[in-house]
Amino acid sequence: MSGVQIGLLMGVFMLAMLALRIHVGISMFVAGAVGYFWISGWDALVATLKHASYARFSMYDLSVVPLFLLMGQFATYGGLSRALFRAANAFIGHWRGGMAMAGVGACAGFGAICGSSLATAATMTQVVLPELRRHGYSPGLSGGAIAAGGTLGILIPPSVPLIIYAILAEQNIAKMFMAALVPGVLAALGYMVVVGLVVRIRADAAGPLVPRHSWAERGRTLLATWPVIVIFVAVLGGIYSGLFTATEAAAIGVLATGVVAWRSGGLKDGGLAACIAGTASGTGMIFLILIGADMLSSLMAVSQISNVTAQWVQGLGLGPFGVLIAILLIYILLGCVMDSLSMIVITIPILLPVVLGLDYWGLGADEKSIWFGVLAMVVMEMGLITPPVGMNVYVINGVARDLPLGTIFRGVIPFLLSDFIRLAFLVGFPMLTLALVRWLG
Amino acid sequence: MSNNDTSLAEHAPPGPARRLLESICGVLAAVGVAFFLIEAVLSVASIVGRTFLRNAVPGDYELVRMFSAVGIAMCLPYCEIKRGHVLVDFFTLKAPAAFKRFLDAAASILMAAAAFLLAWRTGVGMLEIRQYQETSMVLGLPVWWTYVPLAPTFALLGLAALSNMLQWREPS
Repeated sequence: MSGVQIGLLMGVFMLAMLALRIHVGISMFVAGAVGYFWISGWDALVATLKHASYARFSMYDLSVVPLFLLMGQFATYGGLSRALFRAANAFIGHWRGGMAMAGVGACAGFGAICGSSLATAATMTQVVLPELRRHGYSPGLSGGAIAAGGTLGILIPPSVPLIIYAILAEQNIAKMFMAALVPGVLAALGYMVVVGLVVRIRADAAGPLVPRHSWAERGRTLLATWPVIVIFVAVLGGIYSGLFTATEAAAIGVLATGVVAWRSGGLKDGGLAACIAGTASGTGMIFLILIGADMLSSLMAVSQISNVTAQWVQGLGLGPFGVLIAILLIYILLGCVMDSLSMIVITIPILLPVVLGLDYWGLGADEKSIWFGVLAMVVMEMGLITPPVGMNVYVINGVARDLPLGTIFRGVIPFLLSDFIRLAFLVGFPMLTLALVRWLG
Repeated sequence: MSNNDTSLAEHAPPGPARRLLESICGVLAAVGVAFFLIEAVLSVASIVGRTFLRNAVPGDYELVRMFSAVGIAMCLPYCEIKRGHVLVDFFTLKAPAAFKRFLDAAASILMAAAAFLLAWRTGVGMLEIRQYQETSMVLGLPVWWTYVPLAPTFALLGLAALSNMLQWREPS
């Protein structure tokens, strides 16, 4: 059997294992190892395994991942979600629908330091939902705004999926963060516009207007969000200017959020143990997937399957944009069954070469990788709120049992529409993503 | 949708061996996270040093790499013992519980096999690195000691997977 045939067979084998509840990392590892053994033999297989995992674990760029996870835990237990919501609400809460917009804004801020969409949705449901209800917002709009706002965690830098993508696609992490910034901000603004439109079309979706907050109150609430501001400045200023690395920015973030969590008493009563448990579990989960991904990409390298797939797709005659749309649709569907990180590590080694082999707006290879990465993140976040199995919606329903799934899914629809419009703009105008990269790079 | 499907588990009460395994994994995870914290303090010290004293912590990048390699390895068994590894449960949502138990036991065996294979190979890798006396670039520290935790933690990951398999088998 040729290498390509073995590669294809192992691909089918891996999908079968995934469907049968084998862990994502182990499915990739087993399929990769069996295929590699088949093509290159036992000696080659055991030789690669000697140092591959250490090389992954000791990669400097990846040391940022556990730090981000720890930062997210500290932020959650330090009550930063509440501080963010209060500050956002002090500024725009008096607008029509302003409190729901503030919820979206708080999600964006929390997503920046937390980097996990599900954790953002879970935390924000606890903080924002009771307030929205108390002020007479409709359940659909409340649930929809939090579900959509929760997806911002993936896109707004710093985020773990962006880092993993950058490493797999061999792109600079700082450039990847720069590229995601404008689309991330556009997403947050888009969701706020959606809230504004919904409350104008259906007056009963929002409660009565509340008075404008004083500047003293605005200043006070803004001050309480200082760790978020520090992290943002550290990431935006530090990483973008090349002053320090992503790991160092994350280190600053860990200490800042750690101080807040400690001072607020969030680490008492098992809080610290929960932070440790969350960080350790998340780290173990991500790095086991990466071990599997490494094994799988070794198989892809020896089997030549990515090249063959890329050539096959080019031969289909769909045209570059037909292929791109097909890929994005695949991502939306996959987003229904898989988390974004697993999706990235499984699909990027196959799909990125396909995209790189086609011409999009005359972009160079690096810019194409960055642009495609941002598009992939956008559709993956859409998968989190797409019926019937948007995970964010399930998370919100899990936290707020009395908010039915159907209500949240109906509430999410206008936000999904804004996602599609934004996606069309990002596909049509790659400069939305790349201008900042070019300007600062 | 994929998640750690703990809701399905109806465990038998943990025996002494399981409890011991759980506490070992928990302590290791805490040590691993402590390494991450040390890494964070070290990085910030280095930033402060080079901004204000024009003097970074020497070898800060390689120390971060070493600490994080050790810390990450220590987190692996904990994630398994807590059933934190992701799986795709979309296609088996409607499957009978007994069938899911069977599949999860099979998944645990595969996990254990992969983990023991990696434990063996990283153990050999460690001996090799020690033999070559590889040292880090700036500080000249021997690299092999950061390899030391790999083989035991992978072995522990395998044990945790086996313990999970035994738990799945017993309906309450």
